[in-house]
Amino acid sequence: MSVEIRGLNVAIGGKSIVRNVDMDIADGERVGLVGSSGSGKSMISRAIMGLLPANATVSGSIMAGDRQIVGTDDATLADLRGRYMGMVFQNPAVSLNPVMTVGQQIALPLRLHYDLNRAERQDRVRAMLDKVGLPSDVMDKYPHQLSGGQQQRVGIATALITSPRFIIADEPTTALDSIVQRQIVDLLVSLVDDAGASMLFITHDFAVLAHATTRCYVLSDGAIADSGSTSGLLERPTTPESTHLVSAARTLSLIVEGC
Amino acid sequence: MTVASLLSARHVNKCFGRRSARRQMLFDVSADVYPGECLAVIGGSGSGKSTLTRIMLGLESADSGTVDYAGGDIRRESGLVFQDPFSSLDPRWRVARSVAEPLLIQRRDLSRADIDARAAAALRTVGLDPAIFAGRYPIDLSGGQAQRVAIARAIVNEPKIILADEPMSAIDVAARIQILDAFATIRETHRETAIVMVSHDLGVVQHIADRILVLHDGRVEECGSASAVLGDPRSAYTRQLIEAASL
Repeated sequence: MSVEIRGLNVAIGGKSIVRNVDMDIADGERVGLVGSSGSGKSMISRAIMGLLPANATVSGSIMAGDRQIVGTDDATLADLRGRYMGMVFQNPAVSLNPVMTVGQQIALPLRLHYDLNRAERQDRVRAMLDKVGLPSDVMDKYPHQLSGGQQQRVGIATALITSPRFIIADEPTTALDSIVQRQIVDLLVSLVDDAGASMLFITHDFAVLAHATTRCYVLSDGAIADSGSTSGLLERPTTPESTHLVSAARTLSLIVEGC
Repeated sequence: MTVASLLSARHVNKCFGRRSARRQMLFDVSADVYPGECLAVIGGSGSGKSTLTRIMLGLESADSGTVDYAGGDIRRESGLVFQDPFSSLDPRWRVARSVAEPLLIQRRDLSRADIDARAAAALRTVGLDPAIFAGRYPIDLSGGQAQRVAIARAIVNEPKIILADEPMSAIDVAARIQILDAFATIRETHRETAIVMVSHDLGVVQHIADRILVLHDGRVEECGSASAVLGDPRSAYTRQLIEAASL
């Protein structure tokens, strides 16, 4: 599903958080949104999902496929989210419900948005667990019984169980160690590509973006400061904002002779 | 000449939980920290990094094994920096009070003016101008600034050893450079102070560590000079960590 954002402004309590943002995500494309903490990345993702706080004022246009998100009522947005959109959150330990088993958690979007019986839901959950590389016996476990990487795999399974056409991954690897981080990025990319869905991948780290996306937008103080191919921006950042982020990623990337 | 270690752990074992939930976190781990060095303790989540370093600093007890410290009370001679600066700073206190807190507790012999001067000096060491930051509350700080305040608090009482447990993982990438710069300045100005940095990110520790201890599932995978561990890793696990950290 394509997403087209035009002239998006978001203000909270009179304070401007997102300023005149234009973005395009084509059907089947993986696009990055990169910026420092507080630059407004998460507000853009919440605006796309129709999950802005009640005191937010929003103007502009967000087209998800042929549907307008801005100004649409909550019931329509809930249906749109449940059927066509999926979201992977930053911290799986917080985003998963601690009193639901993994099986119940992953099946929840199916229960809410699709008319399937229990056996059909369980079949789909088992198939999804297999796709995210978890054994089917984790179905009866609770989130606290899993490692951080396993929890995020459950988060991905929950986001993808309804076969969404558009996925937002909001800093999905920040809470994970670097080995697991790479595994989760690779998993997300392969699942999104296999499904032919499009993805917006949000991060503060250009190094992560290089593995996850082909094109990206750089956000600074709520406005788009740069955009282009991810590899192009990594090699030749042009604006001060992208140069700052790229040089930080380069400095913090391990440089080892012969590796 | 061999340098005597400042802190030495030998054959440390540690379990958490009871009965069926009992899980061993450390298996016969030995490690040394030398004066003035930066030792990075590296490994994935759950590898036992924090448990080991907390035992070494006297914040946790070992089930078996020994920890020897060549000084007085290690809890008075160490400074701690935690992962999330906002939960480690009191939101009701101005920066100057947070930084001065260790002196207010431990150095009753100092005058108020002396304490303020030392807190201001610690802020300057981490690259924060006291004239701008001393009067601020944590809510008025960015993540990178808040973590540098926490580092200033850790060094204000001239500790012999600083434990920094994942000091950069909650900080955005651009601000991590400022944290690295703060540690570099501390290493120049406090040459006898040892730094133990817990991290899962080799990209960060390559800039600061003299030696690296790699933990995996509670066991020492390897330990050596930073150049040896990074340039010629002996274990497959370390190679995996190196690969994950390369752009």
